[in-house]
Amino acid sequence: MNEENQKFENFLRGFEPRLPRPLPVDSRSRYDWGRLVAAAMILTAVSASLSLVFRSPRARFADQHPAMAHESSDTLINTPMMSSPTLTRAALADRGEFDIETNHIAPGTLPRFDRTDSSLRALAKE
Amino acid sequence: MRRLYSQHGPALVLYACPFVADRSTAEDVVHGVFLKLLRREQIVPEAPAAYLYRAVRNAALNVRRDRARDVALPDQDLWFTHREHGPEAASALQEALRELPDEQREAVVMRIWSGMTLEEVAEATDVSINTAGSRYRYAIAKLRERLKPHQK
Repeated sequence: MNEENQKFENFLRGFEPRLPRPLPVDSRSRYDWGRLVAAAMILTAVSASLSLVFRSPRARFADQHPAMAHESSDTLINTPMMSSPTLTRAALADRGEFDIETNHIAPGTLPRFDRTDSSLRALAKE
Repeated sequence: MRRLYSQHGPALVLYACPFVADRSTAEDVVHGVFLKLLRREQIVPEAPAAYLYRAVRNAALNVRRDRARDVALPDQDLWFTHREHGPEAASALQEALRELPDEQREAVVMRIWSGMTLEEVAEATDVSINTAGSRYRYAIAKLRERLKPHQK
């Protein structure tokens, strides 16, 4: 009886269930979220260091000397700036007029040494 | 996971077929169970085959309940390939399996086409090993009777 059962079981195993279609690729499992988070963190760190390296000299100066930066920014805000092409054109057209113009701009653009509360003045003394 | 799917997928679809209207729905049910495992919504248990059969059964019964009002067309798809025994024998086996009580059919499918031991069948169906064994024997006896004309 056992042998007959075995034979019949083997007969049944001769019928193979049809293969189902392959598992669909799950879009949610396609990404490794751990790697994505790590990549995002690296990107953030790189952007932060790049922004520090390529910061404008004025911003770096402001960080290192806040008092002086405040002083110079006050003067710069109140002074009309001339672009380089304008200055070049002025110099070529009339040197005398150019000197007068730059003398007029200089006190508002360049750091002041003559004021008693000037940080540059204090530094220069040291 | 892919290994589990290739090992048990065909038998799981075969197992789900009688619960739902057609083979395509049975495949969807099995895919749903595997996708939950792939998405880690469910941890792969120590006895994956027993878990898979229980999960497929529950999912298939849910689908059957949800679609109870739908009019089911007769399933024309064959459940088996018939290289060795021919399409008539495959069709006869399919009908014989469909006519078995659920608990006897699942014992045969797990044992014959998933290669599970009677202990595993008992665990998957939450019954004692004796009950699993007697269900299996009844099922084999009925199938043998039905398939006699096709046995060489």
